[in-house]
Amino acid sequence: MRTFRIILGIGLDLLLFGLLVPGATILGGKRLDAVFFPSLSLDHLFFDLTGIALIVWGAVWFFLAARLLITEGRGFLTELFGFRISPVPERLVTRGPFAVHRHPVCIGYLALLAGLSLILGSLGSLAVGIPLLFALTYSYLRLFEEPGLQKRFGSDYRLYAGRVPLFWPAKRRRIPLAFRNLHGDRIRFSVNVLGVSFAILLICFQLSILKGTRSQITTYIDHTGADIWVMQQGVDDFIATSALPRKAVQDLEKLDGVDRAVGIYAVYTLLKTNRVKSRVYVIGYDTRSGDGGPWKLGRTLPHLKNSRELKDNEVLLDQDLAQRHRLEPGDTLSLFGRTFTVAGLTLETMSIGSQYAFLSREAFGRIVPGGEFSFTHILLWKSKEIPDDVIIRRIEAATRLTGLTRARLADNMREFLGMFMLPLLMVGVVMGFLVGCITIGITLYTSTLERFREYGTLKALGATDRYLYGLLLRQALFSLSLGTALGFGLALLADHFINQWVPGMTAGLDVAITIQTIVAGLAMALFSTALPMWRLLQLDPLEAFRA
Amino acid sequence: MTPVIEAQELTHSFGKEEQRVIAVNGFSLHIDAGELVILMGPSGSGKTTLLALLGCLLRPTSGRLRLLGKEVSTLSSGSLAQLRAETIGFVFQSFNLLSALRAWENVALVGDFLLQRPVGVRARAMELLEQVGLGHRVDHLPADLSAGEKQRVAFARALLNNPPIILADEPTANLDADNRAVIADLLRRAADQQSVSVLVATHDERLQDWADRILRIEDGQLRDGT
Repeated sequence: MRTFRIILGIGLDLLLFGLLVPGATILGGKRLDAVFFPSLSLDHLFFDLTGIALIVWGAVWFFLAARLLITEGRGFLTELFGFRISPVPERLVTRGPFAVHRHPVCIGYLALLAGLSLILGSLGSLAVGIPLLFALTYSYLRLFEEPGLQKRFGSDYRLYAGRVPLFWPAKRRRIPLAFRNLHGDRIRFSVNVLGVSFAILLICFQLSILKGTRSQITTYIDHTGADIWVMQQGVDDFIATSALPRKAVQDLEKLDGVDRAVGIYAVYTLLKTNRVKSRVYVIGYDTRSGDGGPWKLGRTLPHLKNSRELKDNEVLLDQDLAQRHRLEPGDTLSLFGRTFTVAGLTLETMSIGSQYAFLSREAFGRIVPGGEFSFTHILLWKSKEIPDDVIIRRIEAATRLTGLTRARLADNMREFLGMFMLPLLMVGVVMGFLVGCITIGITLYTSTLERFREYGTLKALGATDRYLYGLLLRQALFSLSLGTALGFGLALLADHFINQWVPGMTAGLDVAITIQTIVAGLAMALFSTALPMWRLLQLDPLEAFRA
Repeated sequence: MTPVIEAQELTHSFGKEEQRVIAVNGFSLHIDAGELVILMGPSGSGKTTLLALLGCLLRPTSGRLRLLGKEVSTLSSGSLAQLRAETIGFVFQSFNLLSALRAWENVALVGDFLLQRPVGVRARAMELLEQVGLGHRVDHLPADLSAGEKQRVAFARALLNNPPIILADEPTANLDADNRAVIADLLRRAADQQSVSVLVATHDERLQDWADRILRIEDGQLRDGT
């Protein structure tokens, strides 16, 4: 009979709390999302990581508490509204999660559901479902569970309830031992904070360079404004060589839904002047319409008011590129073996590893072999609200060329960049992470060894391992928070320096990077406490008696 | 009346097989509330090991230990830590104050080890320091205190959680005559006024004047006294 009741209880638990409650919360939340929060998205790495952390913590907390109820309390979970489905705990459990709050099973379960809602990106579940569930749980505990437990365990439970809170651990003002331990040796403390700040700077900086580079690499694609890019069949990025017959422009313009099509040239070359070499992406654009040309001009020769006035023997150069080569408007340079006059400087036209130079399409056509018969790319603008994929299918059917939307081409470029940039940047991020772990870890470890006898005293006086771990963690977090503040300050300065003074590079520190770096920092703090804590676990409290 | 400390045939040995050293060998004792017992013996006689056993810092190899009528030999290490924080006040020969904390913080710190930190810990720490004559030194760091003052801070710390038991290991070994008397008076007062059971391990014969009973230990065994 007991076994039957246990199985029945587990079955009911699984049905109710494993299926119905989460199902109702998530599905209800999704309905709310569709009605009330259609434009709000939780699709971000930070929310995913927080969701995972909540799920892991909730599951661990839940199962720890459930295990204690079964092994020490000698009972099971299922008692609903006073009706005992499975055998209830015979003994009061007050340790482990039950020493933190009285209902860790409920808290763990709610945390798990909140984590699930975050991962699924349901704001409705988080804002309405979980709070509602929390309110129901609270009411149930107050009205049914607590009176039942008081009845079952009598004064033991009353004493326990007086000591341990229902849900939220009571806020206790502790003696600031962690801070004092750190602050005791100011030189070591300063070195620690500097080390952490360096680690944070390294992580933050690498991520912001990656972001800057990702946005920079698509700068030309983004600014052309073309809806669709047409390239040689099989080409799907803006790096590979492409050649298209000139007559394809007319063919494309005849297609239904196409407003206009403009051919351009885009070829890499090497610019050598004043003993400086640069890899330059030279664009030949349509000077009649300005399509495919530069979008923002800096200093120019007097006759050049806009990019449509560029002459065939003139070139527009990226401002940073010109600065690097010490070229000014009016100077001359050689490209593809021909001499051009710098007619003006362009802004926002630098990309990782190369900068842009602009020639007239006519000049370019005469330079490159076969240029009078071909373009490298054709830019296309739509005339009607026709879906992109429809137009692309029409292009491919009519011309056997490849068509890509602007967004797709930009994605492909970012992916291409990721192939060679990401591994390098990730090495930097991992190194920063390791530097941070080692710096905090060594500082904590040496200060722990130095105060070994004091820790022995703490153990002798009644400090639990948990208290000691909290002490170490607080020290790590304290170093981390100061180091992080300093590291972010330095990262902002580094970003400013890069954006102002380093040609061809852009850094873009933003909220997402800040959050990612803080998460990495928190992981650093956790990892760095492992070794000192291991030593403290080995510590014999008898150390306190050693004179 | 149930003894506050009740040990039966406590034995503790270190090492294994041929290298085994029996530090405490079948030691039995009981101490009632309000009793001050002195444990005397030469160096290496097992005084400190016995104190560590009674203070739940070591588990006995054999024998039984009951504190306040409760068997403690089978408790988990977490429960023993909790028991130490709630039940036992320690006074060490080398004071063992935390160098980074002020006098009052050293006293108040043990309040952090309780599951629920009692309210007014700071006020209680101040009151205890006042009682041991250090009301004017509450904000001093241990490095700025004399040996006698340090031991008085350690004594105040031992009393913070109102423990029914105080275990003191050579509490006067590093003190001059005046301070020795001050500490002995404080221990006596704790026994008389707060009914604390005090066990002092020492080889200082002059402390006998303050004791209710004297136990002598030699080679880990009780030689004299009951």
